[in-house]
Amino acid sequence: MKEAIPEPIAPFLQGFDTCQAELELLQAAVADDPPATLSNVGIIRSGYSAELDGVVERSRHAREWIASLESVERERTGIKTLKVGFNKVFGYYIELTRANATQAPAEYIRKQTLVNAERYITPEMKEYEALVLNAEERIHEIELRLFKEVCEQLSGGSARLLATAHTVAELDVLASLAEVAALNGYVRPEVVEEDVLEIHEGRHPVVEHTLSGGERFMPNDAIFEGGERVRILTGPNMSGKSTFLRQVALIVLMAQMGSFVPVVAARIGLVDRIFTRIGAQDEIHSGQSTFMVEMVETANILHHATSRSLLILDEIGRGTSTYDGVSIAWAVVEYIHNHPSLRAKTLFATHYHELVQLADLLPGVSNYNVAVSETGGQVVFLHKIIPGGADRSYGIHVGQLAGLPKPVVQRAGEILQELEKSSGKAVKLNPDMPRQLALFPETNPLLNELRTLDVNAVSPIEALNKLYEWKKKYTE
Amino acid sequence: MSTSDDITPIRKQYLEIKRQYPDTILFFRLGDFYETFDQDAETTSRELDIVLTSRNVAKGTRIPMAGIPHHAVENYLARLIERGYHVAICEQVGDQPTRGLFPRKVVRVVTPGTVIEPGLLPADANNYLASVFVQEGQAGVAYVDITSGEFAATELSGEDIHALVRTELARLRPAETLVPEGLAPANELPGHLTSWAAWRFEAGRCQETLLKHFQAASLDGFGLKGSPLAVRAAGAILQYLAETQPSALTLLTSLSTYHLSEFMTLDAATRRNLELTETIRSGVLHGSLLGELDRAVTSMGKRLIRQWVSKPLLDAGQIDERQEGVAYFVREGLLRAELRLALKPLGDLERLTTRVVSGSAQPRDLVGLRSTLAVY
Repeated sequence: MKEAIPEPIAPFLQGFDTCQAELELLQAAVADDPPATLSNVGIIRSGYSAELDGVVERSRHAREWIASLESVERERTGIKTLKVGFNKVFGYYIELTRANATQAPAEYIRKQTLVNAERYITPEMKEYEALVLNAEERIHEIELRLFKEVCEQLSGGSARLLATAHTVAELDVLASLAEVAALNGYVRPEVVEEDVLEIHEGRHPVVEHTLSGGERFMPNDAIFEGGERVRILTGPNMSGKSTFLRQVALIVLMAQMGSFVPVVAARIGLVDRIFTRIGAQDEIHSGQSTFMVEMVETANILHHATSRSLLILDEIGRGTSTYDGVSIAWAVVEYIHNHPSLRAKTLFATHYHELVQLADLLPGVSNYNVAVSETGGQVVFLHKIIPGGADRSYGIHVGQLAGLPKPVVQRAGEILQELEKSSGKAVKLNPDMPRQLALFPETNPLLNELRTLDVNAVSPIEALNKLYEWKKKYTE
Repeated sequence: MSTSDDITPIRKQYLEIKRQYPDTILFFRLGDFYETFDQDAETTSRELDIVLTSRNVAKGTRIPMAGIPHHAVENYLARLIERGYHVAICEQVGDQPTRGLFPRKVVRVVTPGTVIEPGLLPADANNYLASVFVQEGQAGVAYVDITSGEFAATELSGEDIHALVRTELARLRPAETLVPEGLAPANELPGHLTSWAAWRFEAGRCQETLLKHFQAASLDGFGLKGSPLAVRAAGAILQYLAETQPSALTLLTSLSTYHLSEFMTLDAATRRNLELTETIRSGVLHGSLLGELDRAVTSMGKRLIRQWVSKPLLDAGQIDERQEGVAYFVREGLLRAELRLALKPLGDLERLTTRVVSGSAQPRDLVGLRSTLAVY
């Protein structure tokens, strides 16, 4: 910290100050090992205050004076039995036996007469006594005052101290992020103004450390290109969908807080908000129904997301019946995709594989699923996210993995086959539906074209051609 | 009930002071104890599991009393604050009793947002006192951390203003939030709410308070021009501090205004779902993003990285500046190790400083400050 400041961290060191004046004051004023609280003495270092040192010195001197008083007075008066004593009522006194009382010097003032002795004081002795008895209190008073003064002086430099504290905090944080980056192989993402999201081989920063025994975290890409807005991710629970969704959000967030990220490479366009709608298992106690909570959160997202937002939607519509759920999920994807002021980049995980049809109908929607290896009826989830929709849900296999009794798994398989025979593989939806754009009049392409058409600038023949073109395009 | 003529002078003194702090537990200093009486004593005894006794206050009248030795007060305070109580500390002032009675005065009111005792503060998170004022689809939000001197205000507006306020409070996670009495959506706001008289939020009064505090002639220099609601939220905070923790006011040397558009918006559900600072399942740091990223070695660093995680930036230039810093320390591994080693023994310079400024420092704080500064 003393040498020339390297350029990369220069902006963080602007507020740094070694606070020498404050340090010197503290070194000069505060004792090496002061008492913990202000109720004891010994706070201030000797040599800091002449006043304090004077009191301490005088008290020490007075103590010595009183300690030596007995021998001094014995010598002066020649009375060998002279004693100096102390009691609570009179304080210090000089005691002479009755026999010697007649030899008491003139300045002795008699204070008390006992059976065999007389007790005296002298004005000088009382002065020293006062010094000794009051010293502790005086010292405490002075120390408190000095302590307060030191604090006030320090307060004058508090802005500098706080700025330095902030600098320390920033260096600490930068070093902390660097430490994590170095330990975990994070790289510096490119954060740009453009509307892009390209994560190459991203990992979940927390989950990658929680895998048990030798299991390797499966990195996954999240590369939005060619006008892609909504990525539908199908696959059963436990296959790693939720982890993937969260990891994309976390990587974006880490990038924008200035951290390096767990990827091989990443290019991230600034995201203004991240919204998540993720399984509501923690709301069970709050009284509101799971489905209501889910819809409230979804409504909030649809009202507030912008084209620069990142939406993480995990199983929208799960809290209700299948048909309701599919319908709501379908409509939500359409809305995000079509609404001109929305069009947020969206990762949409669902186990409704009816939704894979949306990719054929809306240009900005694409399908991804979780790779599965299936050998001899055994299903293994590879946690790899690959293009394409899942053709089936593997829910029964998850049940098997979870240890459902074998007869239940077998019977479920049979029932599934029956259901698929009777009602088709999935609920078929009318493919023309997305074109019924009256649902979203504000996004009707015909209206848009009408809005942009400058009637004054077209010739009658052009207008007729346009009309012919529209008739062909929109009534097919 | 006895007439006021019968009751002891000290009881009279107590009642006079207590009248000014009706919703607050009054710790009344008597010698080496803080005593509580009446309802307060029952609450204190119940919450702190201490003995409920009684005291004679007039002929034939005994009232409930519960006392706490003054040297152990911090620990007891912590428990009351944690449970959402506010505590007024009433001390003996002056050296001489007048007519047998020490003059007494409330020196501060301890509330969750105004604590400064190291034992009552989380070391690795800021302790914010926030204030919210909502009017006609707009809101002013202000917050202060009196242990760091951070004081900031903003104005929000939008269709669902209450949702915006909730989102901002979810980001700040204040220990205490001031709201004007009768604020409609108060029950939907998270955290510990303190309802305060609406007149405290009056525009003129708040403006006056701010101008006086900063000894400024205009608030434009603080970026508050055209933000009347931010002024009201910030002004209310200053008035609240003046009543609860006046010594902290000296620390607040500036007020910064910010706009939510400077930070990525993350609503409460998203913060929870992404497990930014605590896990969903058990609410602990370990297993959260912050738990993974926080290798800071000082309390100051730990608080700052929590802020960084809580408010990602929206400015590519600022992000790049931080990345440059991180990249530098990634490259310079040895220097990084040395720096971390050097920072590790540092005391909490920030909070030490604020204790010195607020006059609550003890000798050991100055020793901590000295050994911290000696490292530089």
